Amino acid sequence: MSDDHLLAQRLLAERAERRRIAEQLHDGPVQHVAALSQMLDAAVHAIEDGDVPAGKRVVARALAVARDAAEELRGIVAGLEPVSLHEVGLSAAVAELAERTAGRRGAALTLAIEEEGVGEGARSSLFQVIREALDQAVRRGPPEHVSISLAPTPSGGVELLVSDDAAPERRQAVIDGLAERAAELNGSFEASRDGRWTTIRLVLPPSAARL
Amino acid sequence: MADTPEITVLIADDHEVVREGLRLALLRSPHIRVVGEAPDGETAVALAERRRPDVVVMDLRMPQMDGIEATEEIVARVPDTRVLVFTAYSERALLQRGLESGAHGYVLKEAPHETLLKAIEKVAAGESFVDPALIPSLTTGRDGQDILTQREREILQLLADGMSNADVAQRLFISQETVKSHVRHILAKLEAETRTQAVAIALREAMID
Repeated sequence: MSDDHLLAQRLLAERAERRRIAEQLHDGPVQHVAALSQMLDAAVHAIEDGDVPAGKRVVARALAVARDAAEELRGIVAGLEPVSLHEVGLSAAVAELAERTAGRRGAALTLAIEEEGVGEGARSSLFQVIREALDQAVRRGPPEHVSISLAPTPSGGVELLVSDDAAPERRQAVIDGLAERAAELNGSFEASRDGRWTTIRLVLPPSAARL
Repeated sequence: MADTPEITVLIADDHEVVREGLRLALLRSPHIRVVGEAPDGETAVALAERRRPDVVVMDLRMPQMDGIEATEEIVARVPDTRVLVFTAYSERALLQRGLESGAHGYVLKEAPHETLLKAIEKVAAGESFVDPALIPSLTTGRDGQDILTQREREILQLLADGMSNADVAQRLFISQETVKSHVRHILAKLEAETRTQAVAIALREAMID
């Protein structure tokens, strides 16, 4: 591949990444904050009308929505590039992420991550794929079980498997997004269903795994 | 209030929490009655056909059929129902697409209650409405410079905040004729800049009470 071609690919990938972040922000916290302003507006009007009990009820609901928004923002920030990823490694960062998302909602976690020989860039990308897969599983479910494994392939690449038993996939856009990420990494991607398990499989060739 | 006619509203948004917030806000206005909620564009069209609300408060981004397509369908199938776009997007291109699809108004999701009510009432009456918070973004030219003079911007903001020409004249110690002349200049510049009939008409109606 020529340098120009690589550069163009890099720029495209960056743009796709920015779009994904914009979508995450738009789909989560932006909606919560909008609902929050409507609710607080309603509460002010209720209090002005002298209906204090209704005002209190709406404020209590608004408080819950504000906390949801804060949690979502924290999740997005932590997902952007967790500090732990480069300080203590992919395995620890994924364990923390899985615990914070699926684990806290009662899912049993099975993690087996062999990251030796996986480059820093590839770790970062793999983390994002895992984050999106988990995020989607939790939104659909939450699942009872989640299993994440990363293992070397005989040819020197790596294979990532993320399986969950949450309700079947509804948002094709997420699968498309993951496939797009895989293509940016020059990897192969597939999503499959087997009984109650949904599995995504991403295989990176040696060149991409060492990035 | 006996003199305020009832307005029936259908809410279309894929975020449950947004529908809840809107419902709670509209509950405070007795003359507005929510007659249905839809989580996507297709349901919005079906419910609009069945319940024939005065106004559909429509999100733009929804799964399956989005708000633009749903607006086009509703305008074609239920011509007495008006659409008010209700979105978190403030980009000028989306405002244009929204109004070109046949919506009568465009309001931001975090708009103050008074703005939201005014938007629903105007749209129900068949008039146009653009959220005043969007007006500054409309006065930026393609070269990034503001197309209005400082005085024009000042007058536009006062009008957008709900003042009448007479209020503006009094506030700025100028005659009403001078205010009207400024407004004519402002509209001419905005129409030239937005190059969209729908936006121009909406702005004109939003600014001149």
